[in-house]
Amino acid sequence: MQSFMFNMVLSELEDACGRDNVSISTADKLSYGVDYFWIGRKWADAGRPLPTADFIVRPGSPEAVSKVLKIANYYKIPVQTWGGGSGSQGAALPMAGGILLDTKRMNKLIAVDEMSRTITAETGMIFQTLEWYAGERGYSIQHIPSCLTCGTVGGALAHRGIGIMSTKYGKIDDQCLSLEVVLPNGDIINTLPVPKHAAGPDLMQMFIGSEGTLGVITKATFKLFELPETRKFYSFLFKTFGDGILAGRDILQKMKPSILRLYDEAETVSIIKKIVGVEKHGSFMNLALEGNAEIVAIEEKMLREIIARYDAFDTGEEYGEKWYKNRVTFFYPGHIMDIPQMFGTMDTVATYDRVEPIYYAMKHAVEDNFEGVRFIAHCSHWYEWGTMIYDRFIMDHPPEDPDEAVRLHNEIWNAGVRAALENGGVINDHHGVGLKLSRLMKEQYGPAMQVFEALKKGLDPNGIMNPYKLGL
Amino acid sequence: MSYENSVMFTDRAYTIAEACRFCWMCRHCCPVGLRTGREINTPRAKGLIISLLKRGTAYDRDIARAMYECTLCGACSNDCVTGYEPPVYIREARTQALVDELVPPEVMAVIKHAAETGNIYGEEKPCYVGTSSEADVLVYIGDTAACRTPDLIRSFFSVLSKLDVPFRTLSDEPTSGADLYDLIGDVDEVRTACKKLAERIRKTGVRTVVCLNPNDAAMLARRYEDFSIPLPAKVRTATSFVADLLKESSVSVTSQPLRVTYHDNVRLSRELGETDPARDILAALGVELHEMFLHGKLAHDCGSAVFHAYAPDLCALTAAGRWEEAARTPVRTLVTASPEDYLVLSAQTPEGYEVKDLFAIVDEALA
Repeated sequence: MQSFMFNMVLSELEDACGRDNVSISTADKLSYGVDYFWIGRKWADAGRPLPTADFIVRPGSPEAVSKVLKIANYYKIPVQTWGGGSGSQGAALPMAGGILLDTKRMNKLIAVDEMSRTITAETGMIFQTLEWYAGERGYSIQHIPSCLTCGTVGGALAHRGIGIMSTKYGKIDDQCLSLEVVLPNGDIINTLPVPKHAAGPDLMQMFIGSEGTLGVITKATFKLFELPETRKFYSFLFKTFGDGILAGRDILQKMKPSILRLYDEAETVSIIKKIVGVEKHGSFMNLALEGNAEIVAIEEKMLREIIARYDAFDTGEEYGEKWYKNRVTFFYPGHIMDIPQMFGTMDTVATYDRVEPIYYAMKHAVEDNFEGVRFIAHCSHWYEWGTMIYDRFIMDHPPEDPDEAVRLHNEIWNAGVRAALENGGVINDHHGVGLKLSRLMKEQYGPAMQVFEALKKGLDPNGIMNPYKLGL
Repeated sequence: MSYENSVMFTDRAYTIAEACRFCWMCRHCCPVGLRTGREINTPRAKGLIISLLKRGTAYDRDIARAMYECTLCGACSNDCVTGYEPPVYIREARTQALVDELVPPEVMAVIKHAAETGNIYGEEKPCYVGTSSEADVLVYIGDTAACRTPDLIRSFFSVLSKLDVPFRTLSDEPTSGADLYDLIGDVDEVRTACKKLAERIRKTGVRTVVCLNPNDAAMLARRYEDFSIPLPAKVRTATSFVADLLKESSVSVTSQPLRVTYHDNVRLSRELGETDPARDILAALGVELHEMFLHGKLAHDCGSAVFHAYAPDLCALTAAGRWEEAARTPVRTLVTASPEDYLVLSAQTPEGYEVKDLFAIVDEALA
């Protein structure tokens, strides 16, 4: 872009957002050059140039977002939306340059409706802050992911996030009731005030998971739950991962634990041993029952009957509680995988009949084809019909050369995700698609992809919104 | 020290920056990050930048300015399960900015004040005299109280007198070096200032130094040890000192019909691990305390005196943020136990609210 024209655009953006809220400084640009995506980290570690935007804008209202999108559409400048930047799929990275739109100034609490048990906020708010607002009144949204403290409300919605309490309280797409969205053309729209209706297809769900490709979500309303009267922890050790899956299925037919996590043998003897201290071999399950004390007591009795059927060993309340207390310890430096290791989470979700076949197919695809790569997994979000599988690969000594490492990284991902797809799984469960999996979207959806493509073309004919992401 | 690409950081600073550059976990605690919404104002982004400097990125004025957009409140360190401390690399980045002449002019003006007069205000520091030049207790007043909040000194002196504690002060009280340490890190000028104060304290022969400002208490109790500067007296915070006196004293206390919330000073709570004494004092006075949702070690910083001096607009944001949290309690009086917090929060007091100094309340109760 010519310097003269650059300054013309800069002036317009400053007019839209305020001079203090538009930046072209190196420091600002670099801070948006890495998210949680492994390739971005590797690039930074190798001292390679990071993807940078030309303009950083920080609008403070949906109206300012609208102005920015109108400017971007006129000049046909790409717009990438950034919340907390803690996504693992590269969805927020400014791969196409242009404008990076940071939502974090839009961080106001709008309403707590105790009558309806709802809370409404702007989407640039860090999710932990929203949870604190709920907590002050004795409620919880019960969206408690490991990125609670680092992701924004909008970020959780953009990639269809999930928290550790999801088995009882649902995913973000279950917890969200309505949205305000700024469309690529600058129009500000609202979805219906309630999520359940027969007024046509679900408008809200079209934007949840759209990863900034169809607009910018600026406001959201969520359910509030009263804090549980009691919360009880349990832990068990199953002889096999398969026994644990069947037990999980049976549990879901009778009750909804808030936490239900089942680890394969490899993760039990590695991460669970390190953080929680379980020394025994087998497949570790930790869970929590919560709510009314009398109901929990009945659920506990039924839970123990199910566990007994699978001859699992009761490792006690202590380990269940210890896992809960350390639930974020796993993600701090020194506890989580980091460069120079190569790693990735290939989470998928399937019906119960497909869970074990997918697990073994992915394990073989990764471990048998790539030397020095190990595979661990756990199931942490359960439904009446199936569960997700949080599959991870880890390579302790990947190639040092970043070009070679990136090629290998993508080959491992292709192999793992294709194994999931071939066996009845999906491309991702709760981290989203982003840049990382964009190339595999058409393989997942086949001709159905044209529905998304038509939506994209209709709403964003200039293709300015988050290019290269979500296969769009 | 490591030396690469003209940028010098200690190995410890680099180790921490390398750990923080890909870790997002503590961003929810950062008062500046939360209030400005700028990604650079997160410990992660600052760590990333430091790590990139090591890899060849040039240190420029924008980066230097970003390193000063931090109150050094330690919320990030307090949150870190692993024990990493981002303020270590932020302070060193400030040192490097000074070396490379990249310090923003508004910060440089404050540094010059400190260099010329010994305090960040660039003023002659008023003297306050104790009750006995032979006393075994020395009250270290500090720069901010002396130059900006003299009423707090009067209240504290009055409290000590009513509790029959003889005390002395230092004439021409030297600075503790705390503000300069935040501005330019661990450099000779700071250590020289620390040695000067330590020597003055040593000459008095006192066994106890009571710091009115928690920032000075943290400096004397923690940093002097780090700098291997011996201090031949026990360092006490004003709050813990008075809390103990009230427990031991037989002086009658008039119950105070106040309903308040209390703002934990971040150096007091996080660096010195002291959260109970102020609450013990309020309880002893019969004051009804309504806690903010985030209190104790989790309290959001309102901003420091030095931050207020060089970045008044940003400090107004952090102070307003704390006021918003106070306003969500059912009370309208916010109590502080630090001259710096009193200064910063008073400047942003919303209509209908008031800031009260803890020792002013004690003084009234002892009347």
